[in-house]
Amino acid sequence: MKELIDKAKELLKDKTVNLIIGYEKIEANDNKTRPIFVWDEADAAKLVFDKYCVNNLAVYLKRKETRSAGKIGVVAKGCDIRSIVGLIQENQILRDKVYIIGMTCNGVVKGREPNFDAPASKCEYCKVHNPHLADIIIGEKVAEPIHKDAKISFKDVEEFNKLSREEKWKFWEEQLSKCIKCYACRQVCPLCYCNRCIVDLNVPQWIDTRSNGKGNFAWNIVRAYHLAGRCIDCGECERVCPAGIPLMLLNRTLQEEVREKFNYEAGFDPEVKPPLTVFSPDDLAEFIR
Amino acid sequence: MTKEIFITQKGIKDLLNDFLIKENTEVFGPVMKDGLSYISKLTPQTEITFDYFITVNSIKEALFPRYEPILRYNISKDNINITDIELDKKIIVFGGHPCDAASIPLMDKLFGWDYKDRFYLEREKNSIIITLACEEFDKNCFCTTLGYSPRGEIGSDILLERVNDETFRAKAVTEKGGKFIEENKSYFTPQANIDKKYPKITDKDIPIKFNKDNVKKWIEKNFEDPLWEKLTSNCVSCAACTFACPTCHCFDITDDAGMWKGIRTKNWDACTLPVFTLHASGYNPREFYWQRYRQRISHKYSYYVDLFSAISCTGCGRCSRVCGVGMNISEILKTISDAYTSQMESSVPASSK
Repeated sequence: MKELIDKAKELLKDKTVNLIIGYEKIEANDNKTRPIFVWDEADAAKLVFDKYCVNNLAVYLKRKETRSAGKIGVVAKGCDIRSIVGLIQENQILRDKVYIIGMTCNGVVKGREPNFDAPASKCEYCKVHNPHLADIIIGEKVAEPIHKDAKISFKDVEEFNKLSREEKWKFWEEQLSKCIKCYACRQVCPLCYCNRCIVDLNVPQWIDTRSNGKGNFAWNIVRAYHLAGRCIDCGECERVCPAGIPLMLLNRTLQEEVREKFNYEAGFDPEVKPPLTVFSPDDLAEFIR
Repeated sequence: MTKEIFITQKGIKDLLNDFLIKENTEVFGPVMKDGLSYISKLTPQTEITFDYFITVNSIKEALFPRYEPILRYNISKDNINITDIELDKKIIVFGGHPCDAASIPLMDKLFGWDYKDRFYLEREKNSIIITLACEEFDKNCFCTTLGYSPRGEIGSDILLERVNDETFRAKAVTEKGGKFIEENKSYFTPQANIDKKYPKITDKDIPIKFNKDNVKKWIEKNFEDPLWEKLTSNCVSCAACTFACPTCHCFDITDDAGMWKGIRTKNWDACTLPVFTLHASGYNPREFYWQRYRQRISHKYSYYVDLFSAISCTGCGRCSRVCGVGMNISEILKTISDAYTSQMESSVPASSK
């Protein structure tokens, strides 16, 4: 912690950055943390990092108000850095405008009731306990149980795929009926950065804005598709969903599709072009008949 | 002295179940979904729970549904036929707390204001609000700060107070509530063992968090204060807080339209969403997250007071509980109320100190 605070102070003092986005404890005697915007050295003392630092702070990098702050420091776990890589690949941020304070991480908690303290599901599949893109890495190097090139498959997707088509439909019908269209999933997602989201385009209204069966299917499926090949499994949408919809099951299904069809996992190398943004004559084209 | 009357948990379940199968009746109650409790519209298959502290959503959903048809239309060659929506359903809402029920008189002011919103008003008229007095609280609760109580009657038709692990004392708050008990007497019982461990909490247990009058005074004078931006810097501008809120009431009207027929619906909307104030020209007067959050707080604690002499907040703390980035409304309001105090102190001339 001291290393993080000292580094933050140094960065602010020598004007390497104008702002650092990190985590603070909500209350002294509570484990829970939340994002904090540190503009001056005095506030840097509030910075913490532990397994309760669940938020993906890359979400703030998409915000134009934040971008206008000039160079920004951001405290980021490996998974959060994968989002930053996505933002760089998609030209949303410039690499030299972000100072990445990479934190080695042994996994975080789920961060949502019930079982707030249970380990987050994403950590089980993590390949970036040690940050893969950073300006400085803080924390001791930790074990990396899964090799970068290893092929992983999500257990929940595997289980879900055992269901029949009718059972799958029934499952999603029930889950998505809970959606209240608060768009917390969209707002908290670092990669949902469209200036105007398709649900906000209302002349004409492309997507039914009602939070009923049809409208909820339209919204959640559109969002899942827009994240195909881009979602890095940070799990923030599911964590903040007030209705408790297992959104990651949807996103993971598409992550697996992309891995299978394009041999691509999002968020590792900023130099690589994401598969759905490029055309190559070698692309699978078996659906064209 | 009027005679006391009680109802057991089983009595409540039976009563709700019997109303469920009645025609033209909607029943709402607390339901556990994946470990969290929600006020939901019940079906004969759903089981209500008594094992919850506070539901994620509020009872607002029963009187002001998240989407609601307001008319249907058919377009033919010669004319347009409009069909009104019938609103004669009886509505039973069980399981809110006093902070839920207290929102009803607040919403009445808005929906019964210059334009009478028949959808809300008729639903309210046809409803019976059965509230459970609180036996628990958490650090997000601040009803007492706003003058409400965990055992308060405001807005309820019937208030239930736990007297033992299985039984509640039923108190008819309104005439409508009294009539409901009278008509359904068979579900109630005249006697119960009083367990001394109840009530577990009273007003005194929930601390006063800030000075509500100072909040308004500060808001009135500090529209452009940089504190707004500082207080809300981690807001991601979703609508989780407003949709969980029992008193947030904004809505949007859209058509679910085909070529020749359609349904016009009223959907929840929220001032915290970026598109809420977006003009057709592309200009947005509330372009930044902090301007939107300022609107939410100012509306509740200042503008609503000007219009209706009441704060549009009941201190339930739901917005703080659902917030994904840890924003806590009572903490923010305390900072505002403290800011007012220090402004006052620094404006007092030195000679009068």
